[in-house]
Amino acid sequence: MMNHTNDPFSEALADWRVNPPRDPSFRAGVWARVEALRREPWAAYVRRHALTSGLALLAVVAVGGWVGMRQAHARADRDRALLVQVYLSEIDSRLVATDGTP
Amino acid sequence: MKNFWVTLGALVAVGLAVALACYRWHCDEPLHAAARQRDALAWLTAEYHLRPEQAAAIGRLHAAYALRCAEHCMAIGEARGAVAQAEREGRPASELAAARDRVAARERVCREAIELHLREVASQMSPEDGARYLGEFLPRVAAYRHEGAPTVRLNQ
Repeated sequence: MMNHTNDPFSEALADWRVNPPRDPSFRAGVWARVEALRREPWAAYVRRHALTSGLALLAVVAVGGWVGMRQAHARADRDRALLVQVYLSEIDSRLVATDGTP
Repeated sequence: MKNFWVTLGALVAVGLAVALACYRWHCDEPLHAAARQRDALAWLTAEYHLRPEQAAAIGRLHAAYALRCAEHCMAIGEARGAVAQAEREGRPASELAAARDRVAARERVCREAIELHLREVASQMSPEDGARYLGEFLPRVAAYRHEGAPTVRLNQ
């Protein structure tokens, strides 16, 4: 443990007193700012968060586009597999013929 | 806080709209229409870029092949019936093996007829599409089962 008894820095801190000027309108000012934010138009809100909003929009467009494309390709793959089977079932007698069981 | 939720809602709406637009953009309508109607020839036309005269020629090939296919179907059915009957009656192993050989022989004739038909169909296509068509179907015909009976997948 250090001994602070004769530390000039500790003495200066101990003597330090903060006496801020009183601001009677401080509380009202805070509420006024809260109210102003609450009534802020949406466009102003978006402009104030332009970078975040822009990045979010880019991400949403990229993800939405990718998901839409993947869904379309998945559906095409399913339909193509179905039609391949339909086509083969039309031309392959081995699939159409009965297995001989009554 | 309200603006945050409005922004979030707008982003979700934009994402859904973009996803829907991309989905529609990438949709292959002729393929989906053919799948809905189980119309294999319509699909072949779209998938292998057939001109109307090529599609008509392939349609004629299919119609002619359908008769041979029905004959093969009947022959295979009879041969399989003979195997089933031999199994039910507990015939000797040699008789059962002979019946199974007949099934195999008729299936081999059927497979050769399919392969010939596929090559005739491919010859009506452009060389690139014909090669792709044969690459798609010849291995499946050789593998025989085609990933299960069609009715099973159709019900999925």
